[in-house]
Formats: sequence, C-alpha cells, structure tokens
Amino acid sequence: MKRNIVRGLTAVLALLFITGCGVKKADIEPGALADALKDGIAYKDELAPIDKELAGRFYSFGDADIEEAYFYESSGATAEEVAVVKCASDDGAKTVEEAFNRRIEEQKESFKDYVPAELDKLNSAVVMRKGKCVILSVSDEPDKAGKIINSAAK
Amino acid sequence: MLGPAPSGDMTEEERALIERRRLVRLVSVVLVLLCTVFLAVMAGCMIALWDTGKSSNDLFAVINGTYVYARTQDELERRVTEPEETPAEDPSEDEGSSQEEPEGEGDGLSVVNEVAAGDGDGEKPAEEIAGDNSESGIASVEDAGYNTEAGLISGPNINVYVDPNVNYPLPFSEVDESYFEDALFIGDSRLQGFGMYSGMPGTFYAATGFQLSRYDSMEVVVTDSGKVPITQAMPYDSFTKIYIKVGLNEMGGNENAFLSKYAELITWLRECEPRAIIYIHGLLPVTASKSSSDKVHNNTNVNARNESLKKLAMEQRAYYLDVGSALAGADGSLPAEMAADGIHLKAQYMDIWKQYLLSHAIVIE
Repeated sequence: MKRNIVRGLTAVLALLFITGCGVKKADIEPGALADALKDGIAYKDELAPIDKELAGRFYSFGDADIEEAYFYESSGATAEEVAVVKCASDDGAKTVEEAFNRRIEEQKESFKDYVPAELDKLNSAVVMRKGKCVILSVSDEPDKAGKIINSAAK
Repeated sequence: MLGPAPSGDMTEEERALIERRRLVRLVSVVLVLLCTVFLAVMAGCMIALWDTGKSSNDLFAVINGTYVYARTQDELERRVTEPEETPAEDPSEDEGSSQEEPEGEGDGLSVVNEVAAGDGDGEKPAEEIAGDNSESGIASVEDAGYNTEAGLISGPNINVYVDPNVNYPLPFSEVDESYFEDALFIGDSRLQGFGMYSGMPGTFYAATGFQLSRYDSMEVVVTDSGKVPITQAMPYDSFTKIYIKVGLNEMGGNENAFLSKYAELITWLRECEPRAIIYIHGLLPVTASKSSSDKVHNNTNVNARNESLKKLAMEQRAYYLDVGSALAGADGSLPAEMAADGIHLKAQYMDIWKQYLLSHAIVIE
C-alpha cells in the first residue's frame, strides 16, 4: 500500500516536472499590453493612440526591425505616454530601448522649464525590455505600470 | 533501356506483357527527363533573379501577367514624386509651358481675408501696405535670381516659381488635404498635438516647450543622428506653405521682443523657402476656468497677443489665421470639455482646427 502511494506521488511529481519544463512562456501581446497600461493607470491627461509613422517624430528608432508598435500619447499638457514595441531581433529591441531612454531625457529637457511638475513622472519613467518587446510607461503610477508589464510577461 | 523485345517463341500473353512493360518504362524515362529539365530551368531562373536583384514575386508576376501592370504603376508613382528632368531648350521643339499649373484651387467658395480689413484707428488698410504687384519687383525667376535647376522638388502643388506675396492679400479659398503635402508647421506643443491627432499631412517641426526666442538653438526636429534645431533641419526650397504657431509659451514676456523675433524668424524662413506663403496662427483661447485662475495664460492676454499677431501678419505680408474663432464658445473661451488642462486641445477636437485650415488657404493662380 505504502509502496503504491509512493509510486503514485512520484508519478504525479514527475508529470508536473515534465509539464512544467515543457510549458513555453507565452509571448507578450504588444497591443494588449499597451491597452492594459493605458486603461489600468490613472492619467491626468487623455491619452490618444498614434501610429508608428507619427511616432517617428518623437522616437529615433533608426533601423530597428520593428514588427509591431503601439503608442498612446498625451495632448501635450503632460509627459504621460505609453509605448510598446516588439522587434524581430534582440539587437532591434536594444535599439528601441535606447530610443526610449533618449526620449525620456529629451522630455526632461522640454518640460523642465515648461511644466516642471512633470519631471517627477519622467524621473520615475518605466522602461523595460522583455525578450524582444520593449515597453515605455510615463505616469504617476510607475509601480502599477511595472506590475502590469510583469503580469503580461508571465 | 526499355527491356528485352518480344521474341518469336513467346505466347501472345507474354508478348503483350512485355510490350506493356516497355511502354511503362518509356513513359517513366520521359517523365524523369521532363522533371530534370524543369528543375534545371527553375534553377536557372532563380540564379538569374538573384543576379539581377529581382525577387521570386517578380517571376510569379511575369508568369501571371501582372508584372507589366505593376511596373507601370511604379513608374507612374515615381513620376509623381520625383521631378521630371527639364529637357534642354530647343527652339525647334514644342515643349509647351514649362510651368506646372497649381493644383488645389478652391471650388468657388472663398472667404474674405480678415487681414484685408482695415480698422478705424488710423492704420493703413491692407491694400496700401500690400501695394500693387510691381512693388515686389519680382515677377519671374530671372528677376528673383533664383536657380531653378538645382534643389527644387516637384510635387502636386509646387509651381516652378511664383512669388508667394503676389497680389497680397488674396482671399482665402477652400482646399483639400493635398494642399498640405508640401506644408511645414512650426510651433509649440499645441501644434505638435495637432500634428499627431488631426491626420493632416505635411511636415511638423513642433515640440513641447518650443520658444520663439530659441528657434535657432532648441532641438525639436528628430533626425537619424538625434534632435536638431529647425535651423539645421530646414531643407532649401521644399515648402510652399509655412504655418507658424507660437506665442503661448512667450506670454508674460516682452511683447516687442517677441514680435521682433517673430519677424526675424519669418525673414529667415523666406530665405530658406522663397516660394512659401507664410501663415501666422492666432493663439487658441483657453478655458474659462484656466482664464480666471491664471494671471498669464488667460483670454485677455490671448486676445491682446492675437491683435499683435494680426498686425504683424499685415506688416510681413503673411496671412493671419483666427483658428480660435472656430473653437471658442459664445463667451470667447475654449469649452471646458475640449482641454483637460484648459490649454491643450484633446485629440477628438483637432478636426475642428483642421477644417478651419482647409477652408482658409491661399491659392495663387
């Protein structure tokens, strides 16, 4: 009896181990993540979507091999924004990450005399790279943004 | 290769069987030969495609007959976007007019230019300021001394050369979006928002916090090598309309210095873009709530600045755009629902601004 129980538990553990190793991490859905960041955080401004071509006015993506990109920008009243970009390669993702960091610095320069209160958001801006997906979130709730991103990456 | 031939001492059945087998072998050999030839041809085609830089899609397009059509479409697009080379002058050839007719003419609907209205306080009416065409002294490319051979970019609305100040002030006309394809927009965050959400074509050199006093040093234009000031990004003779919207970020400062800098910007823009009509955007109103709580950014100051901009437009032979009139409510303020912070227009209201520009355009014939 005892032996059967041990065998049974061993089999269950082995099964769990095998299936656990075999489960592939789901890829981040960039569009869904962008929507989650836009809807899940309280913004002072109204964020509206813009396409990748228009976003080129703000971000120097260079020759990054972008597969999908989603952007939500403010009316200009604040520095709030959301950007989720998925690249085909790690090098492309690195280029986009650098572009996001540059964007934050440029925004700091723009807002420091314009609306200095926005500097707090920019100083706590979230830039994350999850595989080939790069995310930028500027808001009053950086911790919440981080949680949303990490949940999407599970 | 086909096997032994039927011999005389075989039965009919054996003879038939052998014939059948010979036939099957013959068919098999032929099929193998055909496949080999086909594969050789495909391999040759792929090598040729690779060598000439074409793709397999081009091969399939040739096969299904769409290749010629696609190349024709490409050529048509190229001719629209790239300049036609001016043929060498030859008196024996009849080339017709070398000037392209401007497009984007109004459909008969025109609005009296507000700039043309003189007011009653002794200022010169616009006609006196504008004078007749001969005052400008520029009626042709030769007079202007502009080189038409180098640097000109053709487009659907670009003339070879037309003085943008000819017959100033002209009445406004209604145009379509194609009018703005060779337009440049320079300005602050509100104009940047307009560029993002209006769907208006054109080039935008607009940025948050843009200040007129730093137009030659503030880095606002994104390039492959980073952001640069507009003075470093401006191509020569590429725009036939320039829309300027500044003034809100400069409120509270020295009015004369602001106007002087504005005139300086216009002068510089005219040197870079000799064919460009200059438009001066009036400031948009702010909401009543913002106006009553802000000592600087309120509608009294906005209206005062707009009066200064109207006069500047007349002096500079530019066209003043009273965009605020299309947005303001009955009390002269921006409706509260249009701006979260009382100043910056929300995305869904940009179309009102856009429609104003579409119905207030200068078309030089």
